[in-house]
Amino acid sequence: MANRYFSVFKISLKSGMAYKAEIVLKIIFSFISSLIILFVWYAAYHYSNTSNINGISLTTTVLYFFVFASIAAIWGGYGVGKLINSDIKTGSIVSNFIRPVNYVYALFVRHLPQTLIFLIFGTIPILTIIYIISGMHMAIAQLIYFIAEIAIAYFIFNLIAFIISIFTIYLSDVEGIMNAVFIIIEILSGAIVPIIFYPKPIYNILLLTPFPFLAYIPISTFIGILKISQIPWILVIGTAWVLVLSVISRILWKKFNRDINIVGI
Amino acid sequence: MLDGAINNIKMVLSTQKMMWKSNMIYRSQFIAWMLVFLLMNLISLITITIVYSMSKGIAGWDYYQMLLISSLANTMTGIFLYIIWPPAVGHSMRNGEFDQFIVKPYNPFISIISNYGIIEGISMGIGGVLIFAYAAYMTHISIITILLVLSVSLLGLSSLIMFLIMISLASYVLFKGSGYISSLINISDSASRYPITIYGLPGMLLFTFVMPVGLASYYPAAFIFGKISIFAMMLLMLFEIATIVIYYKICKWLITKYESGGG
Repeated sequence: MANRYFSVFKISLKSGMAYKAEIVLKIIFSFISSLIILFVWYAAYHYSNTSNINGISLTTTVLYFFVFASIAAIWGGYGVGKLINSDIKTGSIVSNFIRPVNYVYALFVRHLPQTLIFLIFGTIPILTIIYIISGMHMAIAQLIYFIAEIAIAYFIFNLIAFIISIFTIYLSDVEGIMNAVFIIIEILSGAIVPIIFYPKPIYNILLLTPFPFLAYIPISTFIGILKISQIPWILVIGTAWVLVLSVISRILWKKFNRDINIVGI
Repeated sequence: MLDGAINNIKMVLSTQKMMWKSNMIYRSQFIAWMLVFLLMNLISLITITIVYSMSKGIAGWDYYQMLLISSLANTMTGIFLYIIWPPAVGHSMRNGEFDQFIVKPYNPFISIISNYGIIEGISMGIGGVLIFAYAAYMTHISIITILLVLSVSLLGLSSLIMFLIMISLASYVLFKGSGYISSLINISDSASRYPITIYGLPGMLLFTFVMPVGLASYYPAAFIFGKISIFAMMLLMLFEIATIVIYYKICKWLITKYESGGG
């Protein structure tokens, strides 16, 4: 059984690596694009003639956006959501259903290579360079927590995308809705403005939601905004969100997949 | 010559009509996409509001001036998206769909810009116009100045559109791929929302002469607030016209180098 999923993984990896120059350019431009906002903050710190805004130093802000830029490419392409949306829209879900693999698991296996390509060729080298150049010191526990949070973020992101994309069954195409939701998530996750800069009540509420796991929490763990003692509790919240979203996905998929009406365009 | 121009205009109009109709088939999708592009205005609005509420902001630009420059950029991006989504050009070359534009009796370049736009992008422009109007009101700018600035911005936008089409065509000709162009558009969209002076001299040169995003938003806004002279503005306009002509010539040459990717 595992062999079948490995075959799906291998084929997706091969097709993901087909245009190598494009992958490199995508990683570079995605990195630069995420750094634009850094210039705005740098200019604001400079003009305000201060080294500290809301308890966050300029160096920390610079590191925040660099780390974000290194992990941002992982969230590109709307995860498994885009795959399921396209499978239903084009009708190829029919051939997926008759294959001897579980469609949902295979969906995640199909998407995994795309994330791994960005992790191996983008995130890991860039984070290593940031770590060396910035001269920051990171405890082993901090690194383990960071990896765990990235894994939680991967599941939260893809489960949200999965839940939205299930509605393709009724709406024929949910790419627009998915984009709208992810713009709001971008704002709430700390991808544009670190959520610590939001008013305190909003910041406290956001910490209880799954969204900061997609940017603010892993970045803050990596650069040390969050204290190590706080992180285990945050991981519990993150894991709970993964479980909640998994249950919701399972219920919705069980309920809706019987109603699939192939458009086949 | 005149017949050819009339035929091209007719083709553009009928293509637009068809695109609106086909987009409106899935109304919920259409509304969702309109919302997506409208929401894009929120990103710069929130960023600017938070930056200005927590610090003195950016040197030489007050809150409303920043809103004006970002909304002008969003308006131009909205128009840009409505006209063309360059990654679609590369995609159509890879799957062979582009072949039809070469064999049809129309200018292939006009065929490209009439077929590969994102209709819903117009809502980003509408959102941008609303914020622009508010910022212009708060900064007491006259209607005549606004009209003058918009015409300069549109010229800058044309230059940017030609540049991105040229890059899409060149990418396909060189390495049969242009998927990264969407990231390039993200950069130009994000960079154009703020004064390009914040990117330092290399950034200013890059966003003026290489990837001309500053021509559509920063320079027109800087002109409104007296940060650049009318002489400098005239020179920039001449530069914009020159780049449009050069990029167009290169695009035409690149189309002759096109090899179909199949069907």
